[in-house]
Amino acid sequence: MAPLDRNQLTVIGRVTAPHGVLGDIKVAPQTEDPAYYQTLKEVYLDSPKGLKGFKVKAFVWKGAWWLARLEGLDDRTAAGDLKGAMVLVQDSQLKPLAEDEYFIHDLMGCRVESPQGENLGQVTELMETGADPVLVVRRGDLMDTEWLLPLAAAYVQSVDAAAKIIHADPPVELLELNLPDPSAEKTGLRQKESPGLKAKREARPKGQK
Amino acid sequence: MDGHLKVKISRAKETDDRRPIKTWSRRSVILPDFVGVNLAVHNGNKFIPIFVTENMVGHKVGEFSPTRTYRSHGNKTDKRVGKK
Repeated sequence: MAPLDRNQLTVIGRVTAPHGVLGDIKVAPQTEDPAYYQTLKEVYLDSPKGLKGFKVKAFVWKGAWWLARLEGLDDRTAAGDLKGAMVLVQDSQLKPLAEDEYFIHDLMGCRVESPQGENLGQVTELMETGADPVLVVRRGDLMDTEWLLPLAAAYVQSVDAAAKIIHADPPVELLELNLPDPSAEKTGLRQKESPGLKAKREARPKGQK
Repeated sequence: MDGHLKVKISRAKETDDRRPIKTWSRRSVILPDFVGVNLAVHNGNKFIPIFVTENMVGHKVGEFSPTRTYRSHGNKTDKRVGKK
């Protein structure tokens, strides 16, 4: 198999253990639709020994892991040496993206632009909240501040993953949501405290913390 | 359900306000009236913005503002997210 550039490959799983005495391996999935990859013809294993391509004899989904039989891997010792190796496939073999779906790695480094063309920062991280995923955007301004942008239609108009640009229309309050509050300096707190805590603090006798 | 949050949300809905509503009330249940509102829920460190949708009704507000951060490894993996 022709060696490939690592940038053209994507991780779909990790070898966890050898299985049986014929060189089979168990692979833990790192993808959301493992059943899709049962028809793979070739995979690449990235182990401490390097990146190597294998033709696939069988790649069966067992409910919680794949059982893989690869060409050239015929005994348990050789399979055991691959424990911990990452399993990769070519980008062209990945399951196609649905509409308004993006790879997380494609969103990293995207520039966020307002409708007026203003640069609002660069995506550095993604937080999974249970609701919409939230992008952490770092502004390259003097204060080097961060703000959070939910990946929701209410704020994000379009995502151009190829051009690495996200068109968003966030209200100003969203950009300033987590900035330090100037009034908090008096209390010695980094942020404005909740109204309940503030009332409790003010009700305490002077000198008591 | 904390009354002060309900008041803030009904005001925002009346004026069709897009600004996120800051709240510390993580214990409040999301009611059907909240759908379409932008909340900013405090997680003890910062406010996490969330856009309330129908399938969040019945859950507590705090469930969508994680208090611990998970940083994944830097691999290029087959992990996807969708815009709702």
